[in-house]
Amino acid sequence: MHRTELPSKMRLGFIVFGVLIVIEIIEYVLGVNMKGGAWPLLAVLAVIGAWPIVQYFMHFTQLWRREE
Amino acid sequence: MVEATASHPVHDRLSINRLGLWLFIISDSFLFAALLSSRFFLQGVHRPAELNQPLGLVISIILVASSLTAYRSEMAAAHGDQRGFRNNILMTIGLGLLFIIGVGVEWREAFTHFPPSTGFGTIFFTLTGVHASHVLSGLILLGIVLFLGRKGRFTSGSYWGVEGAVKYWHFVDVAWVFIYPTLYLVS
Repeated sequence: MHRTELPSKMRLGFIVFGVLIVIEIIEYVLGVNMKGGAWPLLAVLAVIGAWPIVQYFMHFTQLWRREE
Repeated sequence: MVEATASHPVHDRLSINRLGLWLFIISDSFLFAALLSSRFFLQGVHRPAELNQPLGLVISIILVASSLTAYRSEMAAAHGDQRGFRNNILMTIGLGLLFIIGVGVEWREAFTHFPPSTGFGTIFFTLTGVHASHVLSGLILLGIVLFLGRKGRFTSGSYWGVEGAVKYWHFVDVAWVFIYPTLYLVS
C-alpha cells in the first residue's frame, strides 16, 4: 500500500466512528424515551451500526477481492 | 513462471488465514446470537429500572473509540508507519481496559439490584461476562501484537498478525453493538 493513501484511510476511520457515535446516541435517546415499542427500531439501528464496522473496519470484501 | 509459483502460495496463505478467521468469527457470533435470543425468551422486553443506562452508553462509546484506534493501527502497519501502529495499539489496549473497568462498575451495581439468581441478572451477567471474556482475550492478542511489533516483526508487506488481532477486536465491538441495546435499552 502507498503511504499517500494513509491520510484518506485515517479520514475514513473518523467518518465511520462519527456515524457509529450518532447511531449509539440515537439508540440511547430512543431507549430512554420510548417506553415499549422501541425494540424494532433498536434492532434496525443495531444492524445499521454493525454494517460499517464489518464493511470498513473489518474489510469483509477482502474475502473475494484479491487485490487488497 | 518461477515468480508466479513463488508468489501464489503466499497470497493463498493470506486468503486462507482471512477465510479461517471469518469462519471462526461467524461461528462465535452464533454463541452471542443464542445468548441474545435467550434474553427475549426468558425475560421478554422486561428491563429493571435500576439499570445504569448512561454508563452503558459511556462504555459503548469507549468500545467504539477503541475500534477506531484499532483500525488506525492496522492502517498504520499496512503503510509502514511503525510509530502510528504502536501508539494506536496502545490506545486500543487502554480503551479496552477502560471498558473492562466500566463493566466492573456496572457489575458492582448489578449485584445489588439484580443479582445472578434473578432472571434478568442471569442474562445480564452471562451476556456481559461472555463478552468481557472476549474483550480480555482481545486485549491479550493486542498485547502480543504490540510486543512483536516492538521487535520489528511487522512490515507494510507482512502484517497478518496485526490484521487478525484487529479484526477480532472489531468483532468484539460488533457483538457489543447488539448486546448494548438488547440489555440496556429494550423495554
